[in-house]
Amino acid sequence: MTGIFWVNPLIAFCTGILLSFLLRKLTARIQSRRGPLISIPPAWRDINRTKVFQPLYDILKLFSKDTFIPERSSPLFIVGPIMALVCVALATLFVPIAGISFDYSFGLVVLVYLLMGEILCVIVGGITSGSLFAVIGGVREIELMLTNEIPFILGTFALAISYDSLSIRDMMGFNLLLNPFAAVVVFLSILVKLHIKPFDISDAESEIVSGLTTEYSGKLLGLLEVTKLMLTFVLVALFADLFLWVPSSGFMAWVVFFAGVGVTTTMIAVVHSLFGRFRIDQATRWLLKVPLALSVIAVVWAAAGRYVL
Amino acid sequence: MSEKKPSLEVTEIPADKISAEVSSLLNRGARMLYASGVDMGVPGIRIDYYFTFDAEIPGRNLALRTFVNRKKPVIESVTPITTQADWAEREMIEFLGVEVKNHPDPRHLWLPLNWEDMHTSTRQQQDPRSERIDTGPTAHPPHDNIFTKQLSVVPYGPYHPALIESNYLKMSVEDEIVRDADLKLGFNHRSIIKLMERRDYYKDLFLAERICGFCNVHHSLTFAQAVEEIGGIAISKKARYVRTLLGEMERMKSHILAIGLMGDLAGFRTMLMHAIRIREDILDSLEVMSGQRISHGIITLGGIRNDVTPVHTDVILSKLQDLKKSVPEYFDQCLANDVFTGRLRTIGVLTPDAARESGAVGPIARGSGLNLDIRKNLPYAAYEDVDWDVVTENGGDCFARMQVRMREVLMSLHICEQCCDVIRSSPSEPVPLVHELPCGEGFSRTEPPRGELLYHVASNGTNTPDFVRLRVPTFPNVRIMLNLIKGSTIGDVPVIIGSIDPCFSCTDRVTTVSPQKTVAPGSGGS
Repeated sequence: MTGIFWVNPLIAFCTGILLSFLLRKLTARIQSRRGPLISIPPAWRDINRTKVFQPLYDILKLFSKDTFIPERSSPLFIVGPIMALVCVALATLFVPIAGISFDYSFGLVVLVYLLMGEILCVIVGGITSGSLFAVIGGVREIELMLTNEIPFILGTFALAISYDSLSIRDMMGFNLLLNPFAAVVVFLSILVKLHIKPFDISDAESEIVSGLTTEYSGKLLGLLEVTKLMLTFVLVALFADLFLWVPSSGFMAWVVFFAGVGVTTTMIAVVHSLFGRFRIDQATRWLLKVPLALSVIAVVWAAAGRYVL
Repeated sequence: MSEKKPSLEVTEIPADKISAEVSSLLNRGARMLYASGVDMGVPGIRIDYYFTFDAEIPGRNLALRTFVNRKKPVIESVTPITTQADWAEREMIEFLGVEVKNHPDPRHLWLPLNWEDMHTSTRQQQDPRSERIDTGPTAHPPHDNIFTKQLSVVPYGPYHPALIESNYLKMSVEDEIVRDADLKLGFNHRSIIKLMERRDYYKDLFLAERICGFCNVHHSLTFAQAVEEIGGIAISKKARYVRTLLGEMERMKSHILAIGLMGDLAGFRTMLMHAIRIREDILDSLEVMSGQRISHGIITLGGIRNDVTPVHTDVILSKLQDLKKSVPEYFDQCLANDVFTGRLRTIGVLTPDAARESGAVGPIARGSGLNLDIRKNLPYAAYEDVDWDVVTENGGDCFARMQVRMREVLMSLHICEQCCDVIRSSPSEPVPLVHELPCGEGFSRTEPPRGELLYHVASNGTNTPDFVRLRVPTFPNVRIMLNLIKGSTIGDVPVIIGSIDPCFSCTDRVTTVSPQKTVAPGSGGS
């Protein structure tokens, strides 16, 4: 099944739309915002109905609009989102989707670099727009990235120690029980990377209008939205692959994979709606305290399991 | 009622003795409420400085009155003595053209910053008949010193997600720390005070209600109380209790939304949504009483417009029972969220001394430990007869201010229940019709959710008021907000704004006196 890994970006985009819908729907239900049900009697169809593809419609709307480019921006303003999309599309190739992935023995390392590259491209594109809010957002994003990448790398590499491999396909298994610390650390890092609620500091709406994306509009904003969707999918799929037991091929692989992705997204949605926002100094302090300590424990746990026991 | 001594004691003194008199009053523990001018025609521009004594219960309202020449209105500033007069004097400069000498910061607050330039521009207008605004660069840069600093300036507004109402907050920022902040108001000018002078008293009640969407009951109530004082109109017992009930319902409605908005500004959107869900019960009760959810139009001169029957009170009592369960549950859930409360603690600390000196009112003063509540200091409606207590907190930070609001909601629930019980058993009485009012002045203060509201109405014997002056609670509080913002980080600014709970539309709409028009000579009400 490794020959058709080039379908991964398409699967990522389509599933990303569904995941985005799931996030929106769950958040709305927890916030007691009542909308129409997913299935309603045919007689009520004209009133309103849930639009499962609403995230797709939003993106299509953005692509149909004019793009404004600030006078003071540099060409990197346009290059940034495109590069970010390329990075995240490449990253999908390395994440096994029910076993389909680009099999490469250093897959994890490449994935870590691609995910970092995506964030850096968005930052570069944002801060070259010349907007003050984007600059503040960029500074916050870099601070978050610096504190978040260490637990993320340590958490994933703890599994690499356990399985003695850097290929994600080799690491798949029920690691949630084998190394629960790594699972927690990677989940927390995913929250930070996706700007889920306690950590949505770099695009805090009420403080700095929308952070790095303040000056983006139209098609470039659409590109950033697509990037966000695919990034959501990549990280959620990575978590499902690494920690929930996904078989490497067969029909059950698809079932378990999508079930795992759904469960992970549900957890993210619950966290998203149950927390306020950290201040940047609170967030960095907390990230340097809890996830860092947990990631060190995860590495020690994995090393002990590998070499001592 | 008529033999009662007037609620505003007026002392008329010459203009050059104002500073000495103000400082002696302040030394005796007075608080300056407001200063406002009225163009009286022949006698000159009349300037009133309103004072009160917070330590006295029931309180006393004093006014120092002086007249300055209309041709060349000059008055000595009292802002160096007390900062409580700062914005009031800036308002006088803008709207009456009074020259306030030695004012430390005589910049435009409401008018555009390049207002002088608009009129004295040396540029030739190409087409004098055209009404197009010349959008070219102005001859002189705006007289605004915040731009000259070597710091980044972060604009908040006029349209910004943190401030739903339009205003313009400029912050000079150095490494996420706010060094200086300045506020520009005046995006919502409505000339409501001027409009009041040409409508009759019954219509003014509705106009007063439109000043603020949140405190509309209190605006019409305060106006009605001021007019009732002029006419010596007595109010029935039931009407007093219904007014109390309306006021407390409004307080709950406003406070619950303010708490929810505070969550939203700290990134906790779920809290706002649940606040709106809980608020529905209150809005339903208000709709049962008045037929409207937001602007009620139920308060009239001498009482209430439509009767509140036992059937209504039964519905309201059942809603209050639901609220008694849901509101504490909601508050507990909010306070249990450490991420949220961590954003509020030790942020925007206002010490009791600073609060007293700067003239804080409402939950901001009570959050700093000041025992300041007009419902207790100068009881109106039925607040003397119901069992309740002033809520204070000692923290002085955003968290204390939020807790004051939370505890006040619970206190309001208690007051509402008592009011409902009394209204059930009280007979309805006809409302007296006000045909004409004697000449005179009425002064009234109430406690809306955001603080202290002040109305000064003068009658000249006709069917329209001679003048109306009002000061909304946001007026002193927003000035304090700017001081709290200075020195905080950018991330804390929305939280501080939310904890003050400002109502900029309120503040904007009241500050409208047209300097060109004069009151017709001979109609002086004093």
